[in-house]
Amino acid sequence: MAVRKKSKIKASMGERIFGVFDNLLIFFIMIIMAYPIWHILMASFSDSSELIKNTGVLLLPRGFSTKAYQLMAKNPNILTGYMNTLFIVLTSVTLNIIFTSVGAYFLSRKRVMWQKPIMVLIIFSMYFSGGLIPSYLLIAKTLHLNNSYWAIILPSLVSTYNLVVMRTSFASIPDSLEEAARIDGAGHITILVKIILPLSMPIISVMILYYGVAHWNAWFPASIYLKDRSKYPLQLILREILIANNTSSMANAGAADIGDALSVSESVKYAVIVTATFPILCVYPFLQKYFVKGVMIGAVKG
Amino acid sequence: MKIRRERALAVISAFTAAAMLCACGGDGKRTASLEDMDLSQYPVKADAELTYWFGLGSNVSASVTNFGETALAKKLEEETGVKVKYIHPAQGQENESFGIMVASDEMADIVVTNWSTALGGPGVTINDKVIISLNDYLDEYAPNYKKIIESDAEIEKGVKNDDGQVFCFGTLNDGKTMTAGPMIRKDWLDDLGLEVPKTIDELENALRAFKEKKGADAPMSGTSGLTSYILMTLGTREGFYVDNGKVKYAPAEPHYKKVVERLAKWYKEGLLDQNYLSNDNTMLDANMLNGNTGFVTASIGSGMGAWLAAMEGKDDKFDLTAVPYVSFDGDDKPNMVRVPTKINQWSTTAISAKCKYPELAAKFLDYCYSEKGHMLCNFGIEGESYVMEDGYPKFTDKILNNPDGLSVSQALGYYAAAAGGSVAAYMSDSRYLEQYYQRPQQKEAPGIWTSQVDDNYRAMELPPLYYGAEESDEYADVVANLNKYRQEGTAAFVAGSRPMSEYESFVDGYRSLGLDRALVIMQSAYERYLAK
Amino acid sequence: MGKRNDVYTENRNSLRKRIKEDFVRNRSLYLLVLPVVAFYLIFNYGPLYGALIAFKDYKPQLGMWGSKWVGFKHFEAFFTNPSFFKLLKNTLRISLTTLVFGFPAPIILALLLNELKSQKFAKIAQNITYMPHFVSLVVICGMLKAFCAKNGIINYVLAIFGHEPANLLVMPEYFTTIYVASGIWQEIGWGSIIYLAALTSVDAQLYDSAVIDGAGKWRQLISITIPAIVPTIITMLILRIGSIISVGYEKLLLLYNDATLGVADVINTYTYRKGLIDLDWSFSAAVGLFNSAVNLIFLVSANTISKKLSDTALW
Repeated sequence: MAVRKKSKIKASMGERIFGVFDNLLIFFIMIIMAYPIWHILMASFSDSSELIKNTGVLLLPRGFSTKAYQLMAKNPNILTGYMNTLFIVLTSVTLNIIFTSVGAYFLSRKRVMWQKPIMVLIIFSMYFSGGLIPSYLLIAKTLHLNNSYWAIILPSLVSTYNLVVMRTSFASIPDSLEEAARIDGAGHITILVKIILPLSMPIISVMILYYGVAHWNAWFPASIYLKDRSKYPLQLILREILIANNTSSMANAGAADIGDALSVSESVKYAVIVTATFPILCVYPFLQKYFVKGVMIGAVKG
Repeated sequence: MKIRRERALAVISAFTAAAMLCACGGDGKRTASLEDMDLSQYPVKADAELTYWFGLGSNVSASVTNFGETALAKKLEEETGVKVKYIHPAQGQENESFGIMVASDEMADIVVTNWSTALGGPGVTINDKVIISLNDYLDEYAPNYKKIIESDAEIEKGVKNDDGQVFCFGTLNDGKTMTAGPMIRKDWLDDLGLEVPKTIDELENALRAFKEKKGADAPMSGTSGLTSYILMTLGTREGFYVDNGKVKYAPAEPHYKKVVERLAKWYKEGLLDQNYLSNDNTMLDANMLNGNTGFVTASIGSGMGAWLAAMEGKDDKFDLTAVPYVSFDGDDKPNMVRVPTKINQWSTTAISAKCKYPELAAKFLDYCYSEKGHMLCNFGIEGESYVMEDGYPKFTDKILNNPDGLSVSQALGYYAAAAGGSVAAYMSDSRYLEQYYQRPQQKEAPGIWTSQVDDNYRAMELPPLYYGAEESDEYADVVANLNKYRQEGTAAFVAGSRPMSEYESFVDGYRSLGLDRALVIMQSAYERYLAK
Repeated sequence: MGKRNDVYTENRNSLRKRIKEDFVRNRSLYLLVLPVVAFYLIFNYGPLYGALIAFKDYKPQLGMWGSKWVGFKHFEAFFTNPSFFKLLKNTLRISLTTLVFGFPAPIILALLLNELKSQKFAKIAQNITYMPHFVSLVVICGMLKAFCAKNGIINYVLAIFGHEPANLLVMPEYFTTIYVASGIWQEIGWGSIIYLAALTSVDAQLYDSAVIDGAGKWRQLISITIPAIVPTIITMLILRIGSIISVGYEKLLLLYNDATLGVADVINTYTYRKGLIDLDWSFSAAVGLFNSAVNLIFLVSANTISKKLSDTALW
């Protein structure tokens, strides 16, 4: 978000109308966007048997109940799941940022002969893959990473998409800065760490967000490579709660318990989403401030 | 850095070699020999451990993380003397995990999956040495199972491939269980002075009365379109059946047109839910509980049981009853009814070709088909989860009113296999469902549906058919295309967006999608089945 | 003859010389990037041989190399499938509509946010607009079903404009609109983040001098703000075009029904049914390869065009 110095010149009539219109429009968009979040939050605090009668818009919980959260709290794996996910996300994101910025730095330099072939190599890998089984054989059998967190972290070290986006951002930094440092005898690592990265906090924030959210939400690799349930990340555990919740209310329920199942199952679906997303939602406000800092770059450059 | 590159290269070539080796992994060597084992009686004496792979259901995982920790598994080990290590894929990832297990050459000794179709079907998998034929082991190591399959032709033909090889330990039942079917608001019928409908016209009258007098917005509802359940309720189905020894495709037959015409009429009059195609379970629940719907095809447990329980104390008049399948146009019998089957094709237990001790595995699996094993799998441990009263196994409060707050199915999951998501190779006992369904409406429902089943209807049912590899590819493609075409067309006719005058040319369309070829393939598979 | 040979050796020498010079100049740069290249070689190119199963009848128990070669059998089966053209048509329709409406939406949102006077409001707005991204598809589609039902809220609103209420999700003509609009609803805020980050590189002084020059808001937008994010827009656009034929199957599976199957069935839903449900690995691989080839062609074309028209290109 670019903060702009307030212009001292008086805004014209048209600009003022635009300003009002802009505010209203954003406000309207906000309401539409806030609705699903609100719906989920309210539904997670509802009583399921009341909730399923609801067909339209949900503005307040129906039959306030915290049963869904109680049911989840009963699951001993939730806490370990949080810890495991936290470890995976922190380790991965740190490595992701290092590898991606190094890659992006290389790809954004001028007059490097092998840059183009390497870029083609990287782009090509976006499109052609060997599929699940060869990857499994490589990771589990050749590299012996079965049941290890590295089986999840290493294969997603660099996302080509993010690499390309970061490269674009690096490329827009004026060469003059690099050349000046070069004259002072700075090497590549110094240039990257001392010049490029500090100037790129906005894009790095975006990358932390993109990578972080991707790792936070990932469950598939964990389901394949991790054998101990104590190592399961949060999403895999929540997924199992959802599936369990679904099947217990569907296929084989019949007895007295089904009434109970129905009164929780619907709200559990929502409580799971709240549990899974709340922590990651808290990250953005912290990153947001770097979007503001970007303004100073402009000042430096100017 | 140069070293690094070399290492990278080395890794690449090493793993390519490993991948190549993988294709020719040989059979494992025995560490204990058969001679050292005494398999003549339970508990056996054997110094070996088996691996057993199956998807652990949520009923079981509610109390344990591995099946080996359940009372059932411990009792099984104690009784049979066989040590077993249980391996479970992550829930919801069963298919992917199975594929990886097969492909990476890590097959467990005993594997539960849908072996009737998996990897090309049981003819192919035995031939390709994925699983073994049990024929050589039945006499000596699985006499209980052998007795059961030989006593029933339907079961015997179902567990054998076309070459007569027994490929699995089946998930069996007595052929009287029915867990879903049509049901109606009994209290509305009583209020309106109507009988339980037996014909399509009576049903239509009831639906109209629901709409006009009970304010039901969507008198007949359902989820995700014309599923096999709804079609079956009206006397047809979405796929194939047998008519006098000939395999036929129900949607191309005249009765299907009658059903479509009727549904189109209902849709236009608002008797059929206008959202029937896009409803999900939540919306159906809402319809039911808000009094928008009076007739539905649903399961006895999650449908009938859940709705009755949810309305308890809120509307005490709310009542549901199962209705028989309806007949059309003055026929005295429905065109088709749902016929219960004795084998659950979707979960079958096979011994893999990688198993070093197939004799031991067979002996272990056979226990569940013995009298003691039967009681254990269905009811759990006597004195703990059930007690015998006048020769009837009654569940204790540990199951029915669990002190730890577990539901019935979760409590049972710890003691017995009957609640599902557990070991699957056994014969289920209907006395389990009798107690599992606790409300009278639930208890009588299966009887209402199965009472209509006779030998004629049984003969119309298509048995489990097995195909060769090529055949099954071709068949699957054609059926997928037929199905899509049928779904789309039927939806358009019912909604009235396509006039019924085009119906004949619509039916002709099946032919151009390869219906005849599919019928030929199925007919020959059916004949192979009969010849078994 | 001799002269030609000289030219040849000279060329070869110059190439060798250039490689050598380049290496001397950029040696530390190459060393730096080596781990990244190694990552790509090991984890992306290592398993690549697996793509060969598209030309085989892959049977897991026989392994990658033991399975039988069948050449283009699976490709043929795909191309000759009666519904191939319909699938392709649906895929392109949904994808292009998403591109045309879904691509500019986050850019517009980012610009609108950028023009807000109150920083506080802008921050709150950002925080809220990006949240729907985290809501799972199952829930989003559940909401859509309820909203689009005959008695749903959308029909309620449409009724004000004299529209006859009907279940919108069973009407094929509305399917693409619902799909694309709900996609924008869910992803617009998340998508705008990257542009907001790019907007921070705009020099605030530029605006001031523009104002002094008498440039209005519109003029500033055209000549200052937009040029600043053009490289990002182009990069994102090229990447987006490079996945033109990949339409995610999950949302479609949740959203379509018998009535809309005809417009909603795309290549990926079809392969999902074939590959994951029937475990037909080879066929899925073949379709995957076809998708990749088409996507790659689009990517290369987009990149070439972009290189001609602007400075920005992937390579």
